[in-house]
Amino acid sequence: MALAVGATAMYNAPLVDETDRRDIAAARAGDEEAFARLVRRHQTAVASLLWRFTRQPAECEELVQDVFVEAYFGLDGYRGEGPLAHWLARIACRVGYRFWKKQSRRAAAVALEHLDPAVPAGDPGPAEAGALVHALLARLPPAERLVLILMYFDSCGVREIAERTGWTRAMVKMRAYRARRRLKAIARRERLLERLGWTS
Amino acid sequence: MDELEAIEQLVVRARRERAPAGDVAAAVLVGIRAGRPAPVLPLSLVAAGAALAAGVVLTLAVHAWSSGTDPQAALFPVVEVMQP
Repeated sequence: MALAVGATAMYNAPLVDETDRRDIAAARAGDEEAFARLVRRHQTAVASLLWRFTRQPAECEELVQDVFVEAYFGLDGYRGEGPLAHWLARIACRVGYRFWKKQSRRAAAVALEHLDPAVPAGDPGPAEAGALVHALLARLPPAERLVLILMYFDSCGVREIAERTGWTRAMVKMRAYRARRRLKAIARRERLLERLGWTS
Repeated sequence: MDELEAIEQLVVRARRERAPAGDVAAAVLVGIRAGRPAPVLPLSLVAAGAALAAGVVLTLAVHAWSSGTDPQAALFPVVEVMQP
């Protein structure tokens, strides 16, 4: 089943949903069905976030499960001061980053990610653009990649990235600067503009 | 247009992409049941038993050490007898 990407909407959700509040209370009391309802309500947004971390559907689904299992065991840490979606986004960020770090230790897995030579010039569609951006970002170190993912796809500012990652703002700024510089060099080396026919 | 601007334009398109997602609720519940920590009581019983056994072994070891004799000590009387 394909579901619309809503990662940005997820982080910008304004209020704590009353239905969420009820289900969280029930889940804390041991009602597993209540937690399953929370999963069903938020899984699309979580999957959308994690789709930025891997483009393998099976891996993505596994990461979504990890996020909710982690959320369940950490449910007492959710104080209800902000929307559940924000809290889940932070967990998703942690789970995705952990996945990348594990993957980067397996050098072969990273080496397999490269630019798709079949990218259509001129007007790539959403999936093609997504694959291309993913392939470019995959060449960055995990920390720099995470900063750009949050900046580009979730429209996060420095403060939000610092909150989500637990890094200092100075560190986020430095990583963003280095990531953009490195990304530009990679795109130039890969002749991205020529490949897309956007040279004029 | 430079490379970073091109990437930003690609990101705008990529944001409209649909992520594949299925219902993971059942798998999450299985994961929760598998990851739930075991009750603490049996573990603490095992720990208490292990501590007790370690105490007994330590007591026996100290006793054996203090009552033991130097295996070379038996050689010295023999040396004395052999003196002219």
